[in-house]
Amino acid sequence: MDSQNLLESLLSELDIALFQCESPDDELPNFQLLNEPPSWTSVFQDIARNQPLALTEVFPYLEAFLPEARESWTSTNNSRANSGVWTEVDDEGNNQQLEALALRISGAPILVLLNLTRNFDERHHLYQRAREIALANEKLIVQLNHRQRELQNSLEKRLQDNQALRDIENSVRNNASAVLICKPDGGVEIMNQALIDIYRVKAPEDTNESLLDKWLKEAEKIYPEIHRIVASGSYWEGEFESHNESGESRWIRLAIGPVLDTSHKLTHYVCIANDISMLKKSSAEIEKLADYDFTTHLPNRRHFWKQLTRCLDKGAQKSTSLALIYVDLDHFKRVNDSLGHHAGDFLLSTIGTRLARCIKRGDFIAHLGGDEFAIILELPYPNINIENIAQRVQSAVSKSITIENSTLKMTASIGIALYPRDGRDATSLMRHADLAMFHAKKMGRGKYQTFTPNMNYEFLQMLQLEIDLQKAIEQQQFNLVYQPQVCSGQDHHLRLEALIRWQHPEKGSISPGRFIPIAEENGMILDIGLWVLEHACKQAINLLNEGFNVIMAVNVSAKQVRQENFKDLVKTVLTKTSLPPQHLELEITETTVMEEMDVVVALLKDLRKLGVSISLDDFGSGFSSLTYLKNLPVDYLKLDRAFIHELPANEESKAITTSVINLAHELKIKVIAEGVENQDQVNFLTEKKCDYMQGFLFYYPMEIEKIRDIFTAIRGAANH
Amino acid sequence: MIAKKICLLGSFAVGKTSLIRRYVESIFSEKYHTTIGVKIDKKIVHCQGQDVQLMIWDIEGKDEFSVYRQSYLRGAAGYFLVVDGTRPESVEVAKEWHTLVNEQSLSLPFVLLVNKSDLFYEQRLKEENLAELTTMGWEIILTSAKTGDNVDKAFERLTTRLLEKS
Repeated sequence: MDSQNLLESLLSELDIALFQCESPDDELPNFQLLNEPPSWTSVFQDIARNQPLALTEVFPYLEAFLPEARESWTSTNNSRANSGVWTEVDDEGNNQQLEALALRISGAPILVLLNLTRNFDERHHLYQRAREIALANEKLIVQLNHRQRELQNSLEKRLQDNQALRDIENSVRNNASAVLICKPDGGVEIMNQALIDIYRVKAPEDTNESLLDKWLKEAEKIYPEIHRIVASGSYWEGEFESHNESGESRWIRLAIGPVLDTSHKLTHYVCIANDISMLKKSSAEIEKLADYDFTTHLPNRRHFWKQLTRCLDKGAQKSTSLALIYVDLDHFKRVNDSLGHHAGDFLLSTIGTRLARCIKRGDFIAHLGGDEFAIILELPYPNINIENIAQRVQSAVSKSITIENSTLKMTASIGIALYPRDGRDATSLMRHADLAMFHAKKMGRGKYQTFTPNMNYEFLQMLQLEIDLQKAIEQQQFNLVYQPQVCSGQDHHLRLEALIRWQHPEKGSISPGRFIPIAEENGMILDIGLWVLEHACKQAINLLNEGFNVIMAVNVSAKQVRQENFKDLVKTVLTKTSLPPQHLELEITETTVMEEMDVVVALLKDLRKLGVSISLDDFGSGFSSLTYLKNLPVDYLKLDRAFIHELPANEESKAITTSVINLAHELKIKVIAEGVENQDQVNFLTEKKCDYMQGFLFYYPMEIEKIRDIFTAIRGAANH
Repeated sequence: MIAKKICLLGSFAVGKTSLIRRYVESIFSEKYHTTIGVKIDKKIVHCQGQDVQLMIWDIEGKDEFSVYRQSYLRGAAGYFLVVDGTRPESVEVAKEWHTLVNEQSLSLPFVLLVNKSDLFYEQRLKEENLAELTTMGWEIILTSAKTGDNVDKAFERLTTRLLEKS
């Protein structure tokens, strides 16, 4: 057999038909079949050798492919174009799967037509199976997520309601999901059979290490922020590879939910795990599909890590920079809790789409899970303004979203880390972006923050402080000091503000500015606030009994005010200490009032009915509106020190101070100026008839013994 | 007779092939049969007083396995975006397709088909999802390839729109 015949037999055997394009520039060019027609061509009309053939009439699909084909035919760099597979119905009504290749050989424009039908079933079967599995997985994961969250919520509620652990244990004993309920230190309270099956442990005491700690370590490899999230008492969920006692590896989907008691103290963690190994390992094809998040359809965490590593490798090779933007939605859990998980999923999906529109082609966005997104920006030029991009992300998140007749406006806290400045490997870059985000959140949410090296140190300091704060309550390391408020007119009362101080056994005195925000965040403020109220009332009654007509002002936090039984707590303390209510004044910040005005106003009215007076603290520091003052049941208004500090030099502060005093007086509200430090301020405030002044010019905050001395001296002077 | 190319675009398993089979052959199969690449079907319809040959391109659902080719939309007169009413994530894929079409600088008439409307109790698309799309100017028709609900109407509507445009 000569080589020409051999070649023709081979082409026929491979179901290949070779065509030469006779008029590449024509809109619908003619083709010439170059080899013996393979058998499959017989089921299509008009395909014969040595006859000009309008191939696009036989196969209309090729008409759309011609522009790419022409490019290959005119290209000088041996490029070839592939049409992709298409299915053609032949003259006998059967499906034929075809694919075309366009290339230039020895200057001739060639079109290779391959018939893939013979081996197509195998390929189809693979795709079919992979997509069926992907569909089934998608449904299973949706169901699993909802079931897991429902169980989580139910267990958290039962624990909060103080149901007996034995009853809770019975209810989860045979649950298909693995359930672990443990104390904050990891000590096991409840462990069900499904968990024992996964980890091959016989009983809690058989585990050498706290299972919670083990999970945290395992998950940390792909969720470096997990320690921070769990330590701060937040809900976490994710998927990671876990190993049981015998070293066997499994993929688990884990949710860790903190349980807080009525005083917002962490009492338990509810952990629910499901073995999703089967879903993860079904096939190599599904591995690829497993790179996407089902809720947002964005690349998921796993995909993100691969991409980040790729980008960092590229950055190292080409000495380019990149930015990692970590986006965490503020208060997402509230949406989930109040509107349900479907609403939560819709919110994530909407925000995911918006964020994806914020970035340019070539950048990368992923949904890391829960309320977290990450964006990788390649920075080809050093002068790209990342903050502009962060602002764009903020504004995309904050556009209103309508869900089930509720219109929401979300905000996000954003952390930014730059490669190579803030980290050269994926883990440290991610950890630093997370830390920056955490700091942004601490700044008051809806903010963005770029990583700085001292954040690592600050975070550790803060965590330590949080641990120490718990001990401070138990070991009574707090004490109160008192600052008198001076009357600029005539008042037969002696006014004091009680202020907390923390004497740390090793670090010495710690400012309230450092520990109060932490206590606010973790809920310890409720215990601390109650302690302050009780002690201040005790001191007030002591002073009263000694003949000093005192009014004791006590600061109350937003969290305390939101307690359902706050009024009853105040009443109980007054009864317990025997302090007449008219000698107690509660100071509430204007921010607290503004957050939930209706609820707070109702509470303030109730408190005043008890006989307690109310002062509005830090007035002017937030979004003060003089117009709402008339609706507030307050007796005193404390002008923020920021205005007083600028008196009398600053015209604006003078004008504001004057207006506030005048308006307050018209509303029968008395005014207290805070932070008075010099005589000029006193003169101005006296001229404007400010009722009381408080500041270092008169008295520093001091121990009760010194107060007693001062009051005694005042009484002595008055008697003379 | 004029010929018009229309494409069906969407995620995998949303029912593109089933819609075409229902429209062209009036049959429906419960069995999911994935499409690889493209399949072209033809149907002659009478619209606005003229016969039109529709070249209906059934394009492989978008996922990790599929490869998008610009040739798919070349020469198209209009297209359907198809989503599965029981899978909200398929809307995101439809949006991606829409972006791809726009990136090819094609300003073509299109209609969004929310398929599988017969699965009444499994619908997971919220009205808000659809309202958002409507505000973006998308025309939406709820269809069921299984019962045939609105399938003819959807093709007629798109044909009318693309004839109006031409």
